[in-house]
Amino acid sequence: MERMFRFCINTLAVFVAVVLLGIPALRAGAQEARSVSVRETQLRESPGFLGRVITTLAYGDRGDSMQEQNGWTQARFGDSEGWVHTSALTTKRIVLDASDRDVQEAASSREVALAGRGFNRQVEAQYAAETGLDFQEIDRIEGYALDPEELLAFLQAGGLSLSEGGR
Amino acid sequence: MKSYGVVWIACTAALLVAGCAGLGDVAGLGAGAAASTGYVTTSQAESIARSAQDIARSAEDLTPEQEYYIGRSVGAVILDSYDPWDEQEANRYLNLLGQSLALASDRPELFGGYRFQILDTEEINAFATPSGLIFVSRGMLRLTGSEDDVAAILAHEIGHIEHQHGVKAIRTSRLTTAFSSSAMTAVELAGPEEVAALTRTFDDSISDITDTLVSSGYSRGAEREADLAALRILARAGYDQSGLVRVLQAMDEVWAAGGPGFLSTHPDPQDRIDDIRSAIETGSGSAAPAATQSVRQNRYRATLGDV
Repeated sequence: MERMFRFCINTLAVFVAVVLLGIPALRAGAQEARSVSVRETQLRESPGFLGRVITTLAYGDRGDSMQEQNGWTQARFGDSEGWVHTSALTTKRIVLDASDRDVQEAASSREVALAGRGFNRQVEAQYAAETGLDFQEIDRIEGYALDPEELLAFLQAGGLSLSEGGR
Repeated sequence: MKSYGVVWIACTAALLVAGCAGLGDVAGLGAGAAASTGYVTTSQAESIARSAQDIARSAEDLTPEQEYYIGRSVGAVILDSYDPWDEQEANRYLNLLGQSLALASDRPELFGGYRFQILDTEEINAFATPSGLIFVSRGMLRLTGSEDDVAAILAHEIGHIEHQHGVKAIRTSRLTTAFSSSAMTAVELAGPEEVAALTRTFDDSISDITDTLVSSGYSRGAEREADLAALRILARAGYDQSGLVRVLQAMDEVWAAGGPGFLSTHPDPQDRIDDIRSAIETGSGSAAPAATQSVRQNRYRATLGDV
């Protein structure tokens, strides 16, 4: 009976040791590389679109994610640490200026994407020339920029919520 | 003795769980690293690498950048058939409302962001391109009676973008062709022949999407997904979820008469109402204070009152 008890205590001690040693390892393991997959996004002080902007991130910027919370990823980009919406990030490495090696990797895995390749402005121009389609209206509509202050006023006056948003 | 046994079993179970959590690390290792650390044999690692090459590419493999270019062209095709309605205040209002909803979606960030544009047609219709361009016809907006109703239409379209329904309408064979094109992967800028070949694939892909949007319509399952996404977005933003039911009921009244546009490409509105009724949270968002309701109603009337 006492032997059994000791055995259990030993097992428990081993378990506690594994857990204690394991936590930092798991934390380190949780740091994963992410790339910005949109043209531009903001790194914010807190997880939410009202969070103060620390810096603007550009397509292909690479950082390390620390944790994810309600659709927001806490990450480090260079010297800056903050929150960015997860939908602006990808686990793929986005290569802006590809070398032969990147190309081979991109062809054989899903982990690498080459920026500006495939369906790009060049293909669109060729498509426009062949179909005679006009892209001026598309450019005009895309060029419409909302004033963030105006958007905030619209949200507040209409009793709309951003606190739960973007999850 | 018996109770100690229980402790021991609990300890063992806890160790097993801890061990399982560690397996994720192995999955994250490259084939070479996995082999060198002894988790798998070299031949197993090679086989993992081979199967990675053999994975068929799907719409999910398109980058947001590629979705962006696909979406721009889909938009250009739509604007070839419909004229934009250039009423500045109405379009500004639609963009403010749409952007508020996009921020409450699961996919607020797109390569080029969301834009909303009214189409100058009586036809009852709305389209979402994979790049985040959302078109709503004047005929569709005339079915609405409040900001909450317009929000329901826009939230449904954002739902299609969230679920990537547009690019999923592209036939797999086209994506396989695109991903094996040297114009997709070459280091040097592609020559005229590669660009011409890829443009043909691009052209076919755009047709797959626009045929679906304009003629055949999405499946009832896809519409249901977009409707459920809309309910979630509306609730998060603080809008009345039953706006979606009101708009569907208004469509149902016109449905009986038949006609082009939304009504020919979407399932029977009554079926859609049946599909989502159980998902509507009772009383959600409808309890907005009277002052808030009047702000919404005033700005809706001022901008879309004469649509």
